[in-house]
Amino acid sequence: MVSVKNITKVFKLSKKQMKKDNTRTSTKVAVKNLSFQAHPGEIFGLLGPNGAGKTTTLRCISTLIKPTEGHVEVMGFDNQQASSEVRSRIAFLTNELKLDEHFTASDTIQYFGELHNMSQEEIHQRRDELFDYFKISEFKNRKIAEFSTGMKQKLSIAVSLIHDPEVVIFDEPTNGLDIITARAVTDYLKELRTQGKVVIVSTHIMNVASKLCDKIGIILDGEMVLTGTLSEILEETKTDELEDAFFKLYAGKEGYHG
Amino acid sequence: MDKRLLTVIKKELKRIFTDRRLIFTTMILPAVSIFVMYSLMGNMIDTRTSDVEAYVGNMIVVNAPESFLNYAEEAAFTNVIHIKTGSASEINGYKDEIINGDLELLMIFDENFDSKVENYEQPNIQRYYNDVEDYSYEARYKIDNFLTTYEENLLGERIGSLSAVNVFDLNRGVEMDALKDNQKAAGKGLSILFPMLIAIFLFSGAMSVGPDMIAGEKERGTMATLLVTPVKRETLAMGKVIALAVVAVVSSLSSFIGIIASMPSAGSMFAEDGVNMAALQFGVKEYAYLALIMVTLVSLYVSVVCMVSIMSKSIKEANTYMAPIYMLVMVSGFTTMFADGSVPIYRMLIPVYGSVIALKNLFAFELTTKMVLYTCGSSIFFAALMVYGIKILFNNEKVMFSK
Ligand SMILES: Nc1ncnc2c1ncn2[C@@H]1O[C@H](COP(=O)(O)OP(=O)(O)O)[C@@H](O)[C@H]1O
Ligand SMILES: [Mg+2]
Repeated sequence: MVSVKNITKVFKLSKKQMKKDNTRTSTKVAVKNLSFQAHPGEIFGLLGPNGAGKTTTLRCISTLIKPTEGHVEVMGFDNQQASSEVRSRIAFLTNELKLDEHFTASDTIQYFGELHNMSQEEIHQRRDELFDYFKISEFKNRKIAEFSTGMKQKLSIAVSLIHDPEVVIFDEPTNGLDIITARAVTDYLKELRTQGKVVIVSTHIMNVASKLCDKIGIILDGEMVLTGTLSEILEETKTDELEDAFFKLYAGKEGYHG
Repeated sequence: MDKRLLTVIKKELKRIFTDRRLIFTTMILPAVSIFVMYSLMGNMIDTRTSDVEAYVGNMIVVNAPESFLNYAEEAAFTNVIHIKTGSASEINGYKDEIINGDLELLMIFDENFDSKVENYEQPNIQRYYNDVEDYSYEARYKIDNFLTTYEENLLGERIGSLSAVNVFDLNRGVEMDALKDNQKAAGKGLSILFPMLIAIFLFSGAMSVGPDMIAGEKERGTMATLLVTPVKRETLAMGKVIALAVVAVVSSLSSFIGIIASMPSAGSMFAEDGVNMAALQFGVKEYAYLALIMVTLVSLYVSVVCMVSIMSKSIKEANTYMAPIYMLVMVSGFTTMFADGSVPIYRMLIPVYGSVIALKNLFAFELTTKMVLYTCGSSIFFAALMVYGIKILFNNEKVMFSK
C-alpha cells in the first residue's frame, strides 16, 4: 500500500524561473496538503491538467524529491527514514525515458538488475520473463538504436521493472505514444493489477482515467479536490461523464466558470 | 565497499571503450594529432632554417672601393652573397627594393674610400637591410662578419703585416666548446612545450566524455531511473568519477605515445644544436614523479568536469560551460611556457599552473620533493573538495531535477 499523508511541496524559484513563469513570488507551491491511498491490485490515477502537480507528487512518492511537509509511506516504510527499502520496492517511469542507444537490450537490463542487487540467475530469469511478455526476446542482443519506438518503450518498462517491484508509478503512461504502443502499455498496467501490484499513474486524458483506473484523484493547482471510484465521483458531482465532473470541479475551484 | 561501485565503473567504461567514435576521439586522435603537428612543425622549421642559411642574397654596393671588391673576390665572399655595384643616384630605388624584399643588402661607401683609409680620415660605410625578411636578416649577419675580416685585412695592410693584427686565437684545438649536461639540455628543450601539452591533452580527454556521462543521463531521463534504484548516490557519483579518471588517463597515454613518436622530428625544434634527445634518461624517481603529477592533475580535471556536468541539464549545456574552463587550462599552460621553472614555491599551490611548472622542472631535472608535495597536495585538496561537492550535488534534488 502507498499512503500519501498531507504532503506539500514548495519549490524555491531562481531568478530565471521567476522570469520564465512571469511571477514575482520567489516560491512555487506545486503540491498543497495532498493525501491519498493506493492499494495492491488497484490502479490509482491522478487526473489533472498540465502544471497541476502530478509529476511533483509522483516524484515525492518515488523518493526522488522530498516533500516540504507531510509523509509518504510505501509498503509500510517511511520514504525518508527508509528510502533504500522504499526504492527496492518501487519503479518510477516516464515516457521521456530514453535509454542509452549504444547498449544492447540485455546489457541495459543487466546493468539495472545489478544495481538492484539481484543475482545473475534472478536477473536472467526475470529478463526472459519480461522480454517474452513484450515479445522482444529475439532482439535482446541488438543495440537499442536499432529498436522501433514501440520496442524502446517496452524495453524501458522492462528495465524499470527488472526488480519486480510491488509498487509501479508511471507518469503519463500513454503520452506521446502511438495507439498500438499505448495499448500495449495499458494492457501491461492491467496485467500488473492482476498480479496484485500497487499501480499509480498520472494523466491529463479523461479516457485513460475513466477506462484504466480503479480509483481517480482529481488534482487541481496542487490540491486533491476529489478522490474515489468513477461512479463515486460521478455521484458526488451529479454528472454522468468524467469530463463533466472534471470541469464542474474545475469551475468550482476557479470560482467563476460555468 | 559496495560491489555496485564496480558495476557502475564497468558500465561507464564499456560505454566508452565499445564506441568507435569515442575510442577515436579519446585514444587515437590525441596521439595522431600531436604526432602530425610536431612532425610537420619540426620539419618545416628545419627546412626553413637550412633554406635561409643556404640562400645566396643580393647586395648592391655604391661607390664600391677597389679594396673591398678585391678582398671579396679573394675571400670567396662572392659565393655567399652576389655583389653588384650601383650608382649613388639610385639609392632611394635600392632602399625600396630592400623594403619590398627584392634586394637583401645595400652598402654605401664614402667616395674615395680607399684613399681616405690610407690618410687616416676614418671614412664611413652605410649598411641597410630589412629585419622582417629572413633572407635579408641572415645576409646582414654574413656581411657584418665579412666586414670584420675586411677591416682586419685593411689594418694588416696599414701595418704591413697581416699576422701582426692577430693578437690571439680563440679556441685553438678545442673541439667542443659548448659544455653542458646533455641530459639537462635535452630536458630543457622538452620543458618548453611538453608540460603545457600534457596539461591541455589531459583535460581534453576528460572533457570529451564527461558531459555525456552525467549531463547525458539527466538529458535522457535515465538519471531518474538510476536514482530510484537502492544504490547510494555517493556510489553512483564515485563510479562515474573513477570511470572518467580511467578514460582521462588512457587518453593522456595516447598523447604520450604521440609525443614520443614525434620526438625525432620535433627534436630539432626543441633542442639546441648538438643536443642528443637520446640523452634524456628518466630514472625510477622521475617516472614516479611524472605519474604522481599526472594522476593528481587528472583527478583535479575529472572532478571539475564531473562538477560542471552535474550542474548542466544537457550535454550541450555542459559543453558550453566546458569551453571557458578549457581556455583557462590553456592559459595556465601558456603562461608557463616562457617562465623558467624557478618560481616562488607558494605558486606551486596554484591548481594546473603549479602542475605544469612541476612538469617543467621535472624535464629540466630540477624538480624537488618539496615542489611535488606542494603541487600534488594542492591538486588533491581541490579535487577532494570538488568530489565532496559532487556527492552533495548528487543528493540535491534541485540540481538533479531542475525543471
Ligand atoms: N523543480 C522545480 N522548480 C520549480 N518549479 C517547479 C519544479 N518542478 C515543478 N515546478 C512547478 O510546479 C508546478 C507543478 O508541476 P508538475 O508537478 O510538473 O505538474 P504536472 O506534472 O501536473 O504537469 C508547475 O507550476 C511547475 O512549474
Ligand atoms: Mg507532469
